[in-house]
Amino acid sequence: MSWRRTFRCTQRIAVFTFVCLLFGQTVSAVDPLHVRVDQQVEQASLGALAGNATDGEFLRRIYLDLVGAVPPADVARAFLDDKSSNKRVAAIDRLLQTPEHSRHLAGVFDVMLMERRAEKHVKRAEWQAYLLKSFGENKPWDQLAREILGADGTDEKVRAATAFYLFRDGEPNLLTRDTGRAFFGMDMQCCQCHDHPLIDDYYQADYYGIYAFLSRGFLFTDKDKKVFFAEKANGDVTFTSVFTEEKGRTRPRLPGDVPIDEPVFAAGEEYSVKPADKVRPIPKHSRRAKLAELATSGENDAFNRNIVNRLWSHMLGRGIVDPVDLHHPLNPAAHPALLTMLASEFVAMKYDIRAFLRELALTRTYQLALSTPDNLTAQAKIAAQQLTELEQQREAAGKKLASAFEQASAARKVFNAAQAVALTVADEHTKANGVVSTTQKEADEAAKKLSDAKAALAKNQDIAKALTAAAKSAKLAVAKLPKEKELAAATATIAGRADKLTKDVADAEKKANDLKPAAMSTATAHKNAKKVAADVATRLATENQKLAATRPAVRKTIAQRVAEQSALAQLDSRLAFANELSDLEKLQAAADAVASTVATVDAKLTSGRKELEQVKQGMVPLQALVVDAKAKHDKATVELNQVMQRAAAKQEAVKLVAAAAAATEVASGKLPKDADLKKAAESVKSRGTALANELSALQKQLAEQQKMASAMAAQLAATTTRHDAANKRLAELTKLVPSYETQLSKTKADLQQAGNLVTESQEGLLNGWSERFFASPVVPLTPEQMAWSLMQVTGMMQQQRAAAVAEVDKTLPVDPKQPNDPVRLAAREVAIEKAAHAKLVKNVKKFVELFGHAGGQPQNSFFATIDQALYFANDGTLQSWLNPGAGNLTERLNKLEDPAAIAEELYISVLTRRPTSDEVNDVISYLAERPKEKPAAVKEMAWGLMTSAEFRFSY
Amino acid sequence: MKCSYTCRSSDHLLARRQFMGTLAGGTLASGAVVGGLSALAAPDASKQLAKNQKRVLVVNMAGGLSQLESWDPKPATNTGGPFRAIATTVPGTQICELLPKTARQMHHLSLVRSINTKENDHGKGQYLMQTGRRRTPAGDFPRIGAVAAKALNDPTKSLPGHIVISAGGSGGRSNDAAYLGPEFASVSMGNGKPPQNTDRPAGVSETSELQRHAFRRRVNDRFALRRRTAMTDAYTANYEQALELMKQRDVFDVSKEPQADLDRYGKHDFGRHCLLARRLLENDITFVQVTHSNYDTHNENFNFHLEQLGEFDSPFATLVADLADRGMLESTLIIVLSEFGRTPNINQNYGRDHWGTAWSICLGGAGIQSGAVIGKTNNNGTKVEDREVDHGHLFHTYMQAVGVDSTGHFDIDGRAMPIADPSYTAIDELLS
Repeated sequence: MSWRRTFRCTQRIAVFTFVCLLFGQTVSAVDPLHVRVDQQVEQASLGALAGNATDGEFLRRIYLDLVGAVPPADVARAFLDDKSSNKRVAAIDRLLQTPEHSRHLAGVFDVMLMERRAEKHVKRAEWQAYLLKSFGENKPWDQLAREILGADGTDEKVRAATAFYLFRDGEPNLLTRDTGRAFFGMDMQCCQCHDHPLIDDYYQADYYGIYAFLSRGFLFTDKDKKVFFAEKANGDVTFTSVFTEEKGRTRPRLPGDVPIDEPVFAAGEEYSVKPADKVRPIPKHSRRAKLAELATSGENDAFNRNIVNRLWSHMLGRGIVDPVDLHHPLNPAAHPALLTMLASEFVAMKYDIRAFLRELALTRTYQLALSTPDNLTAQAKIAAQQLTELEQQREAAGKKLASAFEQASAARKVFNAAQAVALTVADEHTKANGVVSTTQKEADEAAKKLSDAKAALAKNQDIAKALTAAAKSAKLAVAKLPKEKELAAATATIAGRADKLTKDVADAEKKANDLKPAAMSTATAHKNAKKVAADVATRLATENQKLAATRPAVRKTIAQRVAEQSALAQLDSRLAFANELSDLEKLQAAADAVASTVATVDAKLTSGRKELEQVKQGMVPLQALVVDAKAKHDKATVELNQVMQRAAAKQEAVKLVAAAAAATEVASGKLPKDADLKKAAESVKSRGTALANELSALQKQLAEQQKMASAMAAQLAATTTRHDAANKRLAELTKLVPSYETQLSKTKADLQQAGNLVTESQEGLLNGWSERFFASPVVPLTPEQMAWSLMQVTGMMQQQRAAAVAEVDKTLPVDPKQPNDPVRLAAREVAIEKAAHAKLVKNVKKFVELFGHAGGQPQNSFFATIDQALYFANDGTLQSWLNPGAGNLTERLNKLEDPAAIAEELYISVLTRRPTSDEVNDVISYLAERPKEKPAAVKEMAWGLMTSAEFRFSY
Repeated sequence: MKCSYTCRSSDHLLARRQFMGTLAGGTLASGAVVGGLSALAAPDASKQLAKNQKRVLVVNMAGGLSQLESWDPKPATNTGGPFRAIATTVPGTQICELLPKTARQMHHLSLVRSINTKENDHGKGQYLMQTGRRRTPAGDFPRIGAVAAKALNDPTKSLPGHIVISAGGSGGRSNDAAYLGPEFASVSMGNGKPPQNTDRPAGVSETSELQRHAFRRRVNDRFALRRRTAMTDAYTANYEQALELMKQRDVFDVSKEPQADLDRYGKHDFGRHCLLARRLLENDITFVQVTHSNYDTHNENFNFHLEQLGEFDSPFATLVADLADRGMLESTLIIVLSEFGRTPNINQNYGRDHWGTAWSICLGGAGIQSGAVIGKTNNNGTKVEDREVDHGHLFHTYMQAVGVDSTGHFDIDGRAMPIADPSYTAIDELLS
């Protein structure tokens, strides 16, 4: 359909224009696909991408993805030491040509298509050999899918391809679900009974659209007990919703498309080999063949998107749409335009899987490191700036979607109306064909009766004629020979017979004549019925044509609606991511605020503690000072009191002496001549004067003493005040410091929490980064990758490969005349791989049991069960692979003397990288602790690396 | 409707949060960054959990137990056979005289006598009774044990949440969890043997064991600094859980039970398995199934039931009584089921044949009324007369009984999977 191509081109031009506008770079369609992939991813990134994977990471990744096991130690070492700039491209190209690559892809597709189901009706080994051969030839995906979807088991060359149907017992519901998932990326199982409750886009009619392609299939077993997937020519599909009781009806219909046109056959003309006992019928129109043809035509978007998404998921660890079997607008592609481009490019590459994987491997996106950009907060700022614009875009996209919805539903209405008419006419046609076959049967019966009667008549007529003639001649003879009695008797008999027969003939003639009208009328009825049927067929063809004419509009509007819906969903997803990213900024700001509070509180606490300490220390001298001041004050007071007492005594004495002197003087004046008396009076007076002098000295002393005492009192008061103040501060601080401590621990807890939020947000963003392919995701190894990688690192693989080479040297030696003959060398490689694989493959089973999901379940989700760890820890197998011998890992390690060299060999062998200095030191000290047990130590460390998360995952 | 994409909140992330929660508690003490998890033993938390933890015990009467010789006797009728009905501790409820000890525990138990599963094939019958759904070609359904493990079990526990004690078997993991994923699949204990690989191999000394794990942890810690996801955490934690499980290996060893108990339960396999079931339930294993085989009595139905139930009665009754004594009955749901019952009609070999039309199961404990009888059959047991139910109703009932909203769904990688068949409901009157 030409509109479709136009649509694609328009879209591509739009994308390129957008890219050009955004980056101002010239992008041309002639750039290799991997360049354009990277441009798409970069264009969608909200911030910077992760850095490039290291050589070791790249090599491990590409080995796991292309050949299904980590690289051997010598290859890893050589690659790490290789200085050439194109070594990654060289490695990709070399691996893509190996027989191991074909084997690995065959295994990957086996699991993808069969999900470890038990074999049924066809041998698993045949199916696997078919896949191996297909990938060995690099069979294009459309051809492989056509062989699988179209398989009925009759073509011996591709009989094993029937396994997809036969392993599932030909059960149409199971086939519908798994065909939907594996080939169209849509799990519509819930739609079997009702429209999907959670996914708007999956309708019961979609489910039954695929179902109708497959529902006529059934298992047919031939006389050699060989089973085929045969097909009937009839069986229409109707369905009823268990919830709404609504009835639906559909012709075969691919997802995202409208029901197909089907040829109209006259009754009885439907088969090229008609059904019969023990005969495999072959319908002229095979719906299953139609499924194979239409799906792989290059025109079905769902088919194309599914496979590129699955191949992308194989290489990049998750689908652009993920889970890979839930393509619908509400589970949008991480990069819708990228998915669209990959789908159309893969079709343009003629579904060449190897070439496509090569392009993916060459992308920078594939070769990104697993870490995110260093400065996430800076990225967050950029994202925050983009929010407004994204929201505007989202609004615009919402409007476009609404209009697309309207257009789609209008087109759908037109289609539905036309389909209703066509289905009614189709019913009439079926009915008319029914009438054709009944009338045919009736006409045939009537004609047969008539012809039987005519045949009987014709037969008897001849005999009657002959007899009549015989009777006539006999009568003549009797007339001539009247005496011959015997002759007369015979003649009478003949005549009698002739008469009877003539009468019978007349009866038969009458009977035949009676049958004629019925024969004629039924023949006419049949003829009329055929005419009616032909008319209806013509009308049906017309209505089908009308219906077909409404299809392009429906397809176009559906595609438009789906495109708008996923564009919107993708904007939602980008917006959510941008919000999350800008939230990081807020969270970081909040965390910073809390951090500054912590700093403030911390500072307060520090100074509080310091002051407390100071105050505490200051209190001791202060207390001494108080004591001292008090002592001095006490002493001064005591002395003051003494002086006061003395002064008082002195004053009393002065007073007494003065009184005595006065009295003496009075006496002496009365006895003037008494010299003694006079002398005594003078003596008393002088004593009084002396005492008075003493008193005044004392009083002076007292004044000083009083001054001293009050000074001491003041000093005491001052020191006491200082002491009390310090004491109060001490009490305050004793309370304050613990409160600061509490505050600090609380704010520190807040900080911890804020930090956790930041970390959590960062972890979420890391996931977001890798979900959008801005960084490499961490992906668990498949059970097979685990098994083969363990065999690789322990040296099992190398041992068995050596044995295989020895075998092939006998069966297919290098031609000494042409030692470089590429054909022969390639054949040898295939033979060696085959022989080595045969020796080792038995070891894989246990890992599938441990690390694989149950048969028939989706196989891609990760789980960890204790039995896995218990197996690695305690089962003998891995231990035995670690026993030194035949140049294996532990033997190589045991031979090395230098512990650093042991570390290097260990890390290169198991983890495809050189150890860091920490890791070297870890190994050195491990060995140093066990000087006498080096073999055991070496084994333990190898075990430790092989059981690590770094080994369990690809990254 | 919005498609619930739960990449961020799916179960493993949740489990991881819980796990990391306990881890953080232990980290302070041990000083390890990741992987140094003595942390798994968080005693207070696990005690708390144990209190709320519901458990399920299924006793699978393989081959098809005769309802007439057990839960729904019809003595003195044309179909009743030779055995009498006896009184039980529930007034008015009688069961067959072949179960005298169980009769004395009936006040802890209830009966459903009106089951019509319309299925007479062993495999299909087992399937529908174990999954609550009819087998469809398009998809497999998880067994009750897997559903219980998913809905009830604490994912940070080291011991498995779903154990099937079988007659033989590998001691490995089975494929009975369908879309729920292998985490919830049963670990089989063939004839009571412990799970595979729970013993340190002879070639690895204790020093080696300690050092290699320490080395592994250091390698993991360094990788965690580069990139850490729910998956890497789950994988590294798994080894610590394995070590924990090895330490608790005795949980699986029934010989560690007191001699008196070993004697009480009996020396035969079924007795030992019942005692082992008790031991496992006491150690907080979420789901345990014990099988008693074989009831497929097309010949000599009465002799076989006499013998088989003679073996069944005592250990089963002892187990019910013990769980009741230990206060575990209110948190443990007991279900005695079969793939179907046996025909009322007695065939010419004195046998009874397959019969999914009118049969019984016995259940009790957590969330179930005690002493109830749901539904009834007619006088000679040839059809259900009242409250007809089948596997779908029963499955809802089991789940509701242990506190799971059976009308809800599990989110499996973005796909909503109903916990039980949405076109059924529980037998509400049986729930307490």
